[in-house]
Amino acid sequence: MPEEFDIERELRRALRPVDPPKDFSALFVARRPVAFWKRPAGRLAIAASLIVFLLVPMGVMEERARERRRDEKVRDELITALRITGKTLQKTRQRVVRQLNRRGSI
Amino acid sequence: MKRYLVVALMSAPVLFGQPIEIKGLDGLKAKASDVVDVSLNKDMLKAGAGFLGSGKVDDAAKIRKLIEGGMESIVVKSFEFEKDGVYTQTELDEIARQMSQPGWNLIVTTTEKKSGESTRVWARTGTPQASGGVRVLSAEPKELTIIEAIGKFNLSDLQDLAGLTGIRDVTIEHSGKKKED
Repeated sequence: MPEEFDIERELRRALRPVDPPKDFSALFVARRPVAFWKRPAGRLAIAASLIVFLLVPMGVMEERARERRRDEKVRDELITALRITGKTLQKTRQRVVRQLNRRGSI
Repeated sequence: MKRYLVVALMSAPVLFGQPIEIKGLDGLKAKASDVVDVSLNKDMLKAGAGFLGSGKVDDAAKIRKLIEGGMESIVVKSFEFEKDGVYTQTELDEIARQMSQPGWNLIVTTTEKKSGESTRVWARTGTPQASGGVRVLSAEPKELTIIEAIGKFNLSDLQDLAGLTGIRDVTIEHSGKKKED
């Protein structure tokens, strides 16, 4: 016949004081939450954030400088093109006038 | 055959709108001491004009007036040589042949044997397919200039820009403001 289930005895057994293992303290200290910035992953994340915060403005500045150089180039090309065109048209006009003068048309 | 005709007709406005392309200029470029090769479309003209000074009676104002008035594109190819006779009459005639495309009418020809200078001017009347414009081929013993200007503009306004100076010193700021030095 099976042994009768004694709930009182089972509870006493389950709740009996048990000594912690010898390395329990070390284990507890090791599992204690560590500050974010002290964790390797945290340090890595902070370093990455710093790099991003430095690189993004640098990238924006570089892009603006590139745009400025491009606009300056277009502006300079425009001025050069119009100056040469104006000069060439002036010369053309002078040549036409000289030619007409030679023919006695003016 | 009919299909080719349709494609040709459809591509005609596009081809008419293309800036001038002169083949065979590499040799001249190599021999030139100073080369200017500029091709600006409408957007670039507007962008360039947007970064000029803000005066009303200066050169910048003249340029803005020209572009806002309807100039659509400008192509300038200029070659300066250190000595005479770098290019031949055959090369010059070949350039002239390429500039004389259908729709472009030769309106001015000048030749000065004494100075060795010559000019040819072509004009195109504006049509629904293509804007009007002017092409100039100016030849001097030490200088060769090819110009194409498309759009609505007054030639005398362009001539007035021969002495453009001093508006290069405009500081471009990308906050939307332009500051003159």
